[in-house]
Amino acid sequence: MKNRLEDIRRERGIRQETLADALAVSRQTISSLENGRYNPSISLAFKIAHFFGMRIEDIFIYEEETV
Amino acid sequence: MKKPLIKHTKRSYILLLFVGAVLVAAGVIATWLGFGSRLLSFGMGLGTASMGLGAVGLIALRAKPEDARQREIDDKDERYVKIREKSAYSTFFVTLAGLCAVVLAFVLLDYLIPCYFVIGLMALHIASYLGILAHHNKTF
Repeated sequence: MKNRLEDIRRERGIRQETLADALAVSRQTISSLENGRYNPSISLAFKIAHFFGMRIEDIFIYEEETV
Repeated sequence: MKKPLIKHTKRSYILLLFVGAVLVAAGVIATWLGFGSRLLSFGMGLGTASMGLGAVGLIALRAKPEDARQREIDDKDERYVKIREKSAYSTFFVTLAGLCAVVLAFVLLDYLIPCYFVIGLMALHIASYLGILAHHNKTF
């Protein structure tokens, strides 16, 4: 799953540490999310969307897996 | 909320440390005087554990509150929890492979009784895995 987390965070001038602190996760989790190495749980996705005042689908781009 | 066995205060941890030190010192002196017994060894072990508990408690008390929050975040972090679960899952198969290797070694060395013991351990290992799996299958 792709996401625009890094772009949105940079647009707003927020540091990874600040975002991690606000979401009560580690900075490594934010870094992994931004690199697309880790897909968040639904509750973390909601937390991120709430933090930025956006909808989940504005941040996370769902792509159907091809078999 | 359940009442803790030991109060999270400096005084309780110093007391634990002191009691532990007294037990260990008494054990060392008694052994030196030639009163060696199982009870003495047990007392020394208890003393060492008490000293360890006291020391760890004092160190934890000295840690900064912001460090404690970071530790809690790191511990509950969902990515880290997932990593921990994946590691535990892989460890199950690594342990199983290790036990298989031990069984093979015992068979080659013709040590049949230890071999049956390890096979029993393997069965217990697999049964516990299946049991926990069935439990989670019901609860999730």
